[in-house]
Amino acid sequence: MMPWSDMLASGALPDWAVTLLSPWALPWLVVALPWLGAAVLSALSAPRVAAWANVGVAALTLVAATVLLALPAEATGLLRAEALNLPLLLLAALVGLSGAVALAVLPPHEGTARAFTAGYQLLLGATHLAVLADDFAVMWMALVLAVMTVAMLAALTRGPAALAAAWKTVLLGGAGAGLALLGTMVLAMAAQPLTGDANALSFDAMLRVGREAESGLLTLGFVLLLAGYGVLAGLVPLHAWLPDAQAEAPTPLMAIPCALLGNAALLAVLRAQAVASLNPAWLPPGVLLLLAGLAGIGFAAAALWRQRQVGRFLAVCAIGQTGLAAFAFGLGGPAVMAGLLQMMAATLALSAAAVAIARASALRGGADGMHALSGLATTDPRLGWGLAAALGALAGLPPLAQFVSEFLLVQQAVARLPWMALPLGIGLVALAIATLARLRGLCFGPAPEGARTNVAGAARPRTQEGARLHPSPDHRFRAAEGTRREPTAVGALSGIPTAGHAAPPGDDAPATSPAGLRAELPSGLRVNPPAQARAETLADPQAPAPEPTPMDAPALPPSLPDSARAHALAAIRASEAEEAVPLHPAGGEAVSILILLHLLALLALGLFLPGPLAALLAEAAKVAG
Amino acid sequence: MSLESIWSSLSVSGLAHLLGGAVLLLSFMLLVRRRPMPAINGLAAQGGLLALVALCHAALRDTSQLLLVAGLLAVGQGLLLPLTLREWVRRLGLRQGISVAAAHRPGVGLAAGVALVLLAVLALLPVTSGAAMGMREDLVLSLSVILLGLLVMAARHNPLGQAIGLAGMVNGALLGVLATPGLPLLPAVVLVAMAVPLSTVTAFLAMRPPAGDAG
Repeated sequence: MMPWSDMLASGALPDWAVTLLSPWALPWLVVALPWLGAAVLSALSAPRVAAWANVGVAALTLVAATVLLALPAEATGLLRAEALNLPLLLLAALVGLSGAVALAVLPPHEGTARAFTAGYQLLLGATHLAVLADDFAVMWMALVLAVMTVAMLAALTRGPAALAAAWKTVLLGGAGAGLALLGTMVLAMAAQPLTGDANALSFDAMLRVGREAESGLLTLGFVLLLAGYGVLAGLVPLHAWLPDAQAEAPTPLMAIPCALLGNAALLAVLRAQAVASLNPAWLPPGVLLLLAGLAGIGFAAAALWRQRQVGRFLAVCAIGQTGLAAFAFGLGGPAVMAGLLQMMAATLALSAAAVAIARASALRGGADGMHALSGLATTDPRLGWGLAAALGALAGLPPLAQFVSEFLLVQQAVARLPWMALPLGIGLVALAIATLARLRGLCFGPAPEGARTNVAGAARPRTQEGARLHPSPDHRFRAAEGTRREPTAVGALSGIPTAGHAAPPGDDAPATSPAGLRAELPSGLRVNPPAQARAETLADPQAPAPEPTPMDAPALPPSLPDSARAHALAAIRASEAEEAVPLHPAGGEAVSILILLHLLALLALGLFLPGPLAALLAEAAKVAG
Repeated sequence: MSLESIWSSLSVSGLAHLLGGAVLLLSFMLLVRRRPMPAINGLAAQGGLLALVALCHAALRDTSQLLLVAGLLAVGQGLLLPLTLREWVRRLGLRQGISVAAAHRPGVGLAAGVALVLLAVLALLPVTSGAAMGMREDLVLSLSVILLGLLVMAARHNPLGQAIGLAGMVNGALLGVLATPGLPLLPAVVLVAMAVPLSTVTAFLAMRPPAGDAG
């Protein structure tokens, strides 16, 4: 096969293709395609067309990213494909495609699908830009755009809890962006006397001059960037927005955009560390990352036990995985390779788990509680076992990729910082135990009554009793909006609970669990009769599950007065008529295939690193370690 | 270079620092002001001062880029953002009676603010000892304004107060951006930074649930 450069020079391709494939244009193509797609998708009103257009754009982006991998990386300019970012870019494009397919077969709550797909592509473009950027200022702009997009995605259902989560995201992300901007400027001040004006913020140029740069400024810049981008990456203790944003998003698939944003932000931190560690001052940059990584692992190991909502559960899993990667980057040297592998494997496994959970949630009538989704392997074996494998990968079970990266990590820790290996080992074991325990409940626990067995794995229309047993986000908000808040200063100013009053990190959100729903309806407040009746029906997970009743007799508490009962029945039927979206006919197969592909990729990464990828990762570790 | 030009450049750089100090002072004002309108006016004044700082740097460094940036800052931070915040206040009818301060004792807030500024000075002293000496004042001012903005965000329990804190913090970061010499992408960076608080406030006004804010 002819090398790319020869092919470009030989004139075998038309002029426009040569321009498009030229080293300076191709990286921009990977960014521009999703953004163009976002513009088109925001204008498309037909949901099916939009869903498949979304898949098409993501597929084209993946092709462009693959070509970028094959082309010689001699590009100069604002964007630069190199060993450090190419594996992550390819992964982001791959996961972006699988997320788009999942969005097509498992559309988010209606009314939000169009905005969600458009925002999804916007975010893909922004994260690709952040990953590819050689210039720290471009990277900063891309990450700001990405976090604002994530906040927008989290706010889409427009309920009070969703708006509170989005507000928290915007505030914390904005604060992080401000700190990161100052950090970027400090790095520029350090490098500018040596690199000259034109590429004062080029990562490549900084790596070359880093040894002579002012060490104090470099360290200060790194600390500010770590604090700023740490928010976006979900490093503990700056992670507070992530569980809320994932819990309140219209679909559990939100875990994919959040993971991609986290990867891009963590790569930015890694780059800043690579520059700062060239000439360390009073504080070796790795120490902070090591501590943040340990804190992340510990937080996830403790908080995983308490999660009762799937979005939060996935977010806490992601925080633990980010902690592992941060620990590896803090160790430096060859451990950077383990960290990169860890990031890639975590994104793949989280994406597979998110797809499986989104499908399970759709099968169980839009439920999003861990309790309501338990026992998947008995009701839907393929889905249950797929989810079990994905969560097992997150726990670090042997044949999959996390096992390899964690093994490498422990090996490096023992070799380089033996006294850090003990807390790391304890954290790893605790994290694995917590993940496996939740896996057991979710996949092999008892299924709630009313969840039909679906052994064949075929698509099942959303059932009446399922929708009633497990509140969909829409129900939650309708019930919550029925309450009238006390006109406090806070409520009067905003109409939404403020970020300061939102649920503490790791805790269950007040408005997302059935128990929290009841807390939303204290007895003294005025409540619409239908909403209250509905909420009481929905609220109690301990109540004996109603028998699967025929359509015309939904279960309501017998104590209700007749008028309220009629209201409640009418409201329930109306809402069910609105949201009776049949599941995609081929959804079960498509989801199984998607999960299987993710697992195969994880297995391939775990059993044998594909040759070129291993070379890239080793080179990346040389650059950044 | 003649003595006169050195003198003039020195005074212009002194003026830039003086204006930066005024921005810091206004941040203290944001911290202790209880009512929304004076706080918004303080934010507008900060934006205007930032534009003046950009003009000073334009005179010092002789680049047309900074003139453009000064215009952007005057329009964005000085005009658009305060107008949007006023709209927020007007729509929710907050002009009277509602405090945007969490603690009603301004002394505590002031003491915390002074402590943060001291922290910024102390943190930057060892860091900027060598060749970075000349950037020390700019960095201290910028970091102080950022920390004060974070304090405002943390101390307020209502969205308006938090948005004002976010805008103040971004102003601090912009102060640092203006002090950095020779950035090729300066206008774009300034534009994105200004878009953070503005888009936050606009999105809040657009997506706010219609019910529940009657007060």
